[in-house]
Amino acid sequence: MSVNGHVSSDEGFLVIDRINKQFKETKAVDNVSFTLAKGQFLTLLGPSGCGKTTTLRSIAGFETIDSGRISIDGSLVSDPTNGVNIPPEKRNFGMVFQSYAVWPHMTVAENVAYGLHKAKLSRGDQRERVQRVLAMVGLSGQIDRPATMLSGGQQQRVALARAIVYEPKILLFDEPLSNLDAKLRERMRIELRRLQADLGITSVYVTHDQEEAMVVSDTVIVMNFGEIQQIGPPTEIYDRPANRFVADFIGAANIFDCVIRDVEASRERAQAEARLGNGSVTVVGLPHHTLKSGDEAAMCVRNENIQLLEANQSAPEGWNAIKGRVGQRINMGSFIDYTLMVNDAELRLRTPRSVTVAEGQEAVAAFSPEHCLCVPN
Amino acid sequence: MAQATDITPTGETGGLPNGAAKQGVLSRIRPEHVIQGLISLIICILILAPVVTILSRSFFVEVTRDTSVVSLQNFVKAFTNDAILDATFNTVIVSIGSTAFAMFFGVALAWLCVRTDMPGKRFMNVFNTIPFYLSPFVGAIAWTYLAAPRAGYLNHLGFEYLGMSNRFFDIYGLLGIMWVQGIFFTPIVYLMTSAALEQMDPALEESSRSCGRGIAATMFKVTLPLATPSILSAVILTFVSSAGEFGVPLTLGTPRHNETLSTMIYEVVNRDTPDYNLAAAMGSILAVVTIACVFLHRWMVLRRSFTTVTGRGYRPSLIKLGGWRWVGLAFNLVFFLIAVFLPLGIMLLQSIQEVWLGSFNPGEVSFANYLHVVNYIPETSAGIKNSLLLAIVGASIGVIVALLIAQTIYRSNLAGRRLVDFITSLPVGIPGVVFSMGVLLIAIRTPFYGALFVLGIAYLARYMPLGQRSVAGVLLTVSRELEEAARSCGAGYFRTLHSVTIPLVKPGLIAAWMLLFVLFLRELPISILLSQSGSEVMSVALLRLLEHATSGETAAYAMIQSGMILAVVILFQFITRAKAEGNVT
Repeated sequence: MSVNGHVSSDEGFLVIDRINKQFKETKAVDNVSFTLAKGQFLTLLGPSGCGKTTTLRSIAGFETIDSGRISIDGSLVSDPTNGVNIPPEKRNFGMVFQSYAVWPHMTVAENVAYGLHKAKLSRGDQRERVQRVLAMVGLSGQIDRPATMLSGGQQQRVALARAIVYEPKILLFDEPLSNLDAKLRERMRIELRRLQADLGITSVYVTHDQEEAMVVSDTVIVMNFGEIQQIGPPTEIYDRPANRFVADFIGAANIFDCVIRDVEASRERAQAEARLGNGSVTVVGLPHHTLKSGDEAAMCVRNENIQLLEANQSAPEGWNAIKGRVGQRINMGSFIDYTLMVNDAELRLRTPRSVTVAEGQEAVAAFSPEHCLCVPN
Repeated sequence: MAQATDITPTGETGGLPNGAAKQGVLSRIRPEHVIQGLISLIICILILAPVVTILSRSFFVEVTRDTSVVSLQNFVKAFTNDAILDATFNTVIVSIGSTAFAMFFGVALAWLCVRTDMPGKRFMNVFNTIPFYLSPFVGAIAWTYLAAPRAGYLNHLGFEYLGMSNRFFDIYGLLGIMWVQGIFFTPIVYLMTSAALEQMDPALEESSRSCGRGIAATMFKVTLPLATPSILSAVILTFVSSAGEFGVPLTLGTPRHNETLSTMIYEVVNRDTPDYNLAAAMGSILAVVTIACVFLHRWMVLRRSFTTVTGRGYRPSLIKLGGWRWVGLAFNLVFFLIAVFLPLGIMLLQSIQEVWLGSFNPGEVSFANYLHVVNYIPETSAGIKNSLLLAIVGASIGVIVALLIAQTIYRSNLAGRRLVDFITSLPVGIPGVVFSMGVLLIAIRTPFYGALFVLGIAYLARYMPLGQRSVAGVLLTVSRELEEAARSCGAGYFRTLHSVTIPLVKPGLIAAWMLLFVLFLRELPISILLSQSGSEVMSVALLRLLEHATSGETAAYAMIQSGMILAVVILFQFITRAKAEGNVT
């Protein structure tokens, strides 16, 4: 079907094809394409204003895209060039909103049963179904309470029950956990993931919280300035960022400008000259497949991938070793954050509590070439 | 999940099914677009048609009975005619005076009632808003009964008991107009200022106090500057309302030939051979100034609309006035006295005396005046029926229209929604008499001239935007996601409207209904040019009583109108209070 064979309707349950959306001067979504197989959990991740929410709302039909096409389970829902713009209520999705959007003038049961109007159920069947779904989200016993009497976390569960009760084709989540406190958020995201896997509903999830994205997703799409930066499973996004933005946005990393000096034939290793403050060091790293000798790039080492050695210890064979002076040592509870001053640049690293090097002491930062990623800017 | 790693553009057809395209053509037209588009179009036409008529007529001069030519003659006439120049001057003076009066009382009372520990605040807060609902026209009549030279009750009392001249108070003239308009526009400033003060973060004041500044310094250096945008916008609205006010100058100015532009326009239109073109020129001049003020106001409000949002929910600490709080209460009671107690009191006294002989006679209490105006004078009894009909039906239609227009402006992506917003903000700046003349010039060429429904349509076009604000105020606090959640559950436009939007904006709808009911029930400047026999309304009938009937009958009729207004306002207070309590439990 497709000319270059990447996408076909048999493979993609949700197909987003080169969609664009402009708000006045800003391009909110810039030529975004991806497909999602049935039952998968996809997360759109990025800083605020990156276009993730607009993309989600375009799938829902709350935003009208300027061009491109969207189809859900084989039926076209958005195709402005051909005048197709199915209204949201006909797209058959469930959505969980950031503000919960639980209707304050209804009880829990009325909220949840709202989407069942087309199911033509008897009163008893409907109540039975509402009860079943509420049990699923852990809200049994709250069925007849006014929605406003619930806590934030409970309201979020009502919103979730309301979105899944009519068994929609896809579930859309718009930063659903960002209004909850940290503890509850951590618990909810695990529950959410379990529920989604049990129900097998294809889901698209928007968040700016990379940890959340790591936990819930099969696939993560990192976005910035309306464009897709990288698509991949969470581990790939974390271990093999496609560019400087992704490396910087996901996790904590030391990033320095560098110039690629020599790429090995195998493309597994490259020498790079990294600028650290007013000096520069030569490191061996793992080059991104698009880089070649002479390119300006970014060298990126994650804080937890750096080992801190005392000045007289030697680094493992083949590792990079950078000498410096310990600037600051902060006990973070389960680990220790060090700042190593190299020339006038700062190298930040995270070590187990067993590592004890005093502030002001000479020390060596050691990291394997495997963890020294050279990525395009 | 291999396919998810594909970010390269897909091919021409992209694997997307094309079968849905046919269905798509229909799916582009949605019921909400049709409804919102139609209602916006109708309202915009209803607003623009009279305005355009006035503007265009002002450039025509009648040469013979049937032919007119384009000319600036009307404006030349307007700017060289001494009477019109006087009226213009009077309008400016009266507007400045009334605005200054309203600003002084409005800001002072708002500060006392919101930010201090003045005793009896809760009652005062209710009393201070009462004049907002009562008719300024009735207020002007009441003040003639209080302070007309010789006959006025205050003059009578001063003469009898204090040995003052019985001409000591004289309500007729520019000062009297400023006095009554000032009283009746005070609540506008009061309401807007107290809203601003209530929303203010008390930490802003507290940090001033913690820096060692006292009450007065904090008020002048922090509180008032922060409330200035709201006060200023209240002042502009008051100025516009004053400039367009009709009933008050008609009652207090016209008898001594102190005309304002509004009364002058009425006089020119009401002549045996009306000069509509000249009246249109005067109306255009007045409307251009007031509309400019409205735009100034709009610009100010739009500019700061994103910065005033502050979290409420915690009680700001009150400023302790010490002994001065009794002075504050006395000050507020003075306002209550001149704005509510004296006008309503004199009306009540006169209305229950069959013959008023200059003072109240408790032995002669009778309800004959009430019976007479309700049962025996055809014009007044028809006026009650017609006004009630217009108010109830008009307010009900108005609320629906207001909701749909608010939705169009703030919720839809309709192409012309900015324009709709713009056009519906115009009528606030168009003086009633001017708007009414525009409607008259159109209606007079149709068989519907003088029909009751023409009045209703004119009311709707002129006042609906005020109701729209009440609705929009609530709609903007309702998260868009609440409506989108309904859509995501498969509810269409109508189900979402009925099951989510309307229940959530109900407080705004009730407030808008009450406001429109009150405005329609007491409406004078539009009605006076459009009502004919068969379409009498209360305020016009009241004016006729004022001209021809006894003061007792006039007072009785004014009391009936005020009573109906107060009844609805009180009912509204109960509804909203019951609702607020219901939400707590």
